[in-house]
Amino acid sequence: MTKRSSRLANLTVGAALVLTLVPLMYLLSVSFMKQGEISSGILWPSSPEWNNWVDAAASRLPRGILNSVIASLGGAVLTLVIALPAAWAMVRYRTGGKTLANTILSPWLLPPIVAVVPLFALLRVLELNNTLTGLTIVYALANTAVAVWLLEGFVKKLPVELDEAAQLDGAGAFRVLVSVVVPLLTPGLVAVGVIVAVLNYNEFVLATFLTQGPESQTVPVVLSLMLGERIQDFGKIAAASLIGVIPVFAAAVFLQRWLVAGLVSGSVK
Amino acid sequence: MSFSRRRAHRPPALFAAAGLTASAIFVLAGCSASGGGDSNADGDFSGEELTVLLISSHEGASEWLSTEFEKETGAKINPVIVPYDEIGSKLALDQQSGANTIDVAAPWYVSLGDLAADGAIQDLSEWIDSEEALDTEDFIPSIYEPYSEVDGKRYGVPFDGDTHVLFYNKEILERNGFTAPPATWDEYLEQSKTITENEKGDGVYGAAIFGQKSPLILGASFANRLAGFGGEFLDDNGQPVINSAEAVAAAQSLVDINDYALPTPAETDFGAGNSAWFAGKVGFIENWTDLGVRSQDPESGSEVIDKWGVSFLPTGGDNTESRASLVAGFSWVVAANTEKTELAKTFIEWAASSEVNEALLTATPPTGIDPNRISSLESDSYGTEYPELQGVNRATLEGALAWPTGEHATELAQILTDELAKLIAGEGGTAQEALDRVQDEWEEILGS
Amino acid sequence: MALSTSEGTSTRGRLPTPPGTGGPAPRQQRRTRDSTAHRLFIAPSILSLVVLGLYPLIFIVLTALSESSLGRPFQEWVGTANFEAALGDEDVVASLVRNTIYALLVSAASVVLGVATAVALFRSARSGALIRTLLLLPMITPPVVVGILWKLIFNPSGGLFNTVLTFFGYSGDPVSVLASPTFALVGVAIADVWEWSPLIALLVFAALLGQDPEVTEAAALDGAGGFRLFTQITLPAVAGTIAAAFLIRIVLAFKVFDLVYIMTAGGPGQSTTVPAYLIYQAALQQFDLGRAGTITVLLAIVVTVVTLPIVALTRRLHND
Repeated sequence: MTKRSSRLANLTVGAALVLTLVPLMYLLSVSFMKQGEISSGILWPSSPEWNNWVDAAASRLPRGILNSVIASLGGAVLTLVIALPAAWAMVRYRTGGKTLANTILSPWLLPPIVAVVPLFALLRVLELNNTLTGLTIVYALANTAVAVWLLEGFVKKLPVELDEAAQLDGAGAFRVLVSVVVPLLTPGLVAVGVIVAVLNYNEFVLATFLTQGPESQTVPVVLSLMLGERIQDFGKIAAASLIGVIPVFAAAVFLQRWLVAGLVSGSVK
Repeated sequence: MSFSRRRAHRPPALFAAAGLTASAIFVLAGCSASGGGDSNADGDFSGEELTVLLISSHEGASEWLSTEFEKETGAKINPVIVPYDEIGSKLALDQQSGANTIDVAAPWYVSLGDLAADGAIQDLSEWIDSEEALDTEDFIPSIYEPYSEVDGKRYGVPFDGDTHVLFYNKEILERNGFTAPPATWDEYLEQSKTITENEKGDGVYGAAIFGQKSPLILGASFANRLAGFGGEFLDDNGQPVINSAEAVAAAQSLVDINDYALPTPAETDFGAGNSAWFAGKVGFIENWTDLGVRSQDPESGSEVIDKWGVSFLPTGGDNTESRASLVAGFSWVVAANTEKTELAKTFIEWAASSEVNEALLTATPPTGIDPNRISSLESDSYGTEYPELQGVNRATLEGALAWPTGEHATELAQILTDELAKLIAGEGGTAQEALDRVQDEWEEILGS
Repeated sequence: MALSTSEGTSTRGRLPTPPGTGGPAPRQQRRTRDSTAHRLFIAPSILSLVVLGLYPLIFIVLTALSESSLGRPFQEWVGTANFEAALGDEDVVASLVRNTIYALLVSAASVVLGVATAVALFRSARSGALIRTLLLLPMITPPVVVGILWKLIFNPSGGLFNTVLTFFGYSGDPVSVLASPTFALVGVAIADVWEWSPLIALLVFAALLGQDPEVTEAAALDGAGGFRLFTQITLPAVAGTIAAAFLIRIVLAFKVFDLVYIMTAGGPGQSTTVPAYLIYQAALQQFDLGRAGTITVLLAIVVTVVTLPIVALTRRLHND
């Protein structure tokens, strides 16, 4: 590789970083501005307005974050429990055939708004309307297709000999799955779990219509309610947005490797 | 693939994730719904709960109502707060699906007909007509009828008598040489134009126009002008007259102010417009009368304390009588499938009473509630605290322009709003053409 | 798609193994028992497919064929009347066209930016884990926050965009991107591209890491360098990944709702009204499930027609 192309590469990476981070930095800046400063066209407040953060922390936001974390992690674990056996059987034994392989992603193609009304009716049958449990189950089902799709990539990379050998030892399908496949697939499971959890955490449309009240509303719903208030306090909204993204940003920093591995597995299988 | 191999085993992160997961499941298992019993007779509802659906602007009021009602009856109120444009659909979904978690709601009065047609709310005619404690005579008549009646039946009881009036920033007007607020929409345009031209450089504009594409926002701005020009939505026979000369003039005045308003009307919702008002950045804003209460509240971060005035909405065309415009406005309804009808009625009777309305008008922190009764409007406490607001609110006593409320009313409002949004965005041709299209669609829906 | 490519791609560093074919008699017996188990394994996923795919689909198609309100679905069968009304409604047709153009352009922009970033990361000496993590942040930011963020940036009174314009000497009226019928959709698109380009960058970067280093080195020794090396060796090697990423991206762009809801509410006029927003308005603001179902079916048809060629392309590139 020539020096010249490397310098161009460094410049490009630098530009990408600037374009990525400047908007986020601006949000941080606004979170410290007084109402008047926001409309006065400054880039950084003269003295930081900590009250925005205090107000945001005193709102329903902390409860929203707890709800989001519960629904996203609970949903992710359930998704994995549902998706792993399917991914394994589909890759190894072609269970379900081409039809299943080709249709599994179809629900993912349309915007979730179209499922709100049918899902509302379904949750009612389960008597789980407006509960965090109901939202968690919906998330678990909603991401199953994507999880199966991503997990297929990991299953394919497993040496087939291992589970065949276990079968020759007389282990049944379920035991092979639990005692051979799951341990080997742990990196993949964590990777896909992280992705699904982030998707759940960020989801808005289903959450806004399937939950009500502080005990089940998630972060995006709490933020949208702040936007709907009669007095819009953008400083507070910016602070709340930043507090709200702490869990996913933390996940990105600490679990970056898993996140990346999971996303890559799906498209490059 | 190198990614997965390189980081094949990382136990610490995994254990952390597993721990979180376990605790998540544990917490989930702890969640369970609470049941509710039915009513006792005679006012003591201790231990009972009532779930009340409200929009986010009423969150403050809901806190006041919850506390006071529990003191009064022992019953606990669970307020459910949703964005203002979701309340109707939440209620309809809740009832239609059979979830039936909502007992009482305070939706936009315009949605009463649709909610009734969808079987989401109870016909309260018998109760309202026979229950003397409701004292319906005392409701401001121009508010009571649209907030309650659809096709000869009564579904709602007035809660928040929202009518718009014109607020002005005295300092800004004085700086620009105006001693009195505008009486007509033409004067309003002139003053706004002057202010914007003089002070735009400092970020001060003549007017904030609620122009975001929502019936409650842009629709309200249009309704204010329609009232001023003396127009109507429907004629006495319920037929659309939305392309009348008055309506076209109203739409045109909305187009005319567009260039001189706080940038930009299309993006201005309640929050954006009100924030600019409180920051002292706009000369005029059309708003609910309770904006004045908040403008005096240092806790709201208001920078316009004692710097504002309020007047009736301007008039236009041949019309010289200012007329109130019932833009937002919310009614109490009882959910169709609630098992707590008695408690629900007890609550509504109390919440719609003169005493409660009067208390909400002047409560701090401000509740955002406007008068719905003659007695509360004329009460001493309101008159003492906010004499100016009391004055302009009397406009509702003289009759008011209300939206249609029958079945499909929300659709009518949406169609009008969509066309108006196109019009002020410069996509809808002339005001006449835009409203002609609305007229056609309305006629089709109303089957005329 | 996944099944047909399994052999081809599993060669990447792992032992290619043909699926087991037959065996001695006792094994045969267990295979029958196992295949029952395998069906059990896919059952929960099938259930989720039914609950989130088939059931809403049937519900939507039935509402599209009937007069249905939110409170009272399926009041009366009306045949294709809803479709005639929707196709005769210029707002509906315009929103479908708008979303198609939007999806194609936004996806193209994301792919260009994403591939450029990926290649730069691949070649740059400074692309450690920290930088990669920072570059990923937009795609894990909740779309609601992304919407708030860009609404603030485009805020005509004092937002970052106008402040920067002023800094570069602009002195006219504040520019209001989200209030302009021409540029509002561009504003939404910028937020969308900002949010999802990192995904493309990540996928392509991983594919670049996965390509065979010997091929690149050999080509470089042959004198291929810079641009030629990129277009003739690197790009073809990751073309399949780029196509797959483009497919994912286009679907995400067709599903855009949160950004529109937060940033523009579909306005000004109809200029940012995408079908998802129309469906929301019809179903949950006007209670008209028939219209909502009809627009959903139309959107499904459009998405299918637009993505099918890309699916075919992805498959071809993966099989190469």
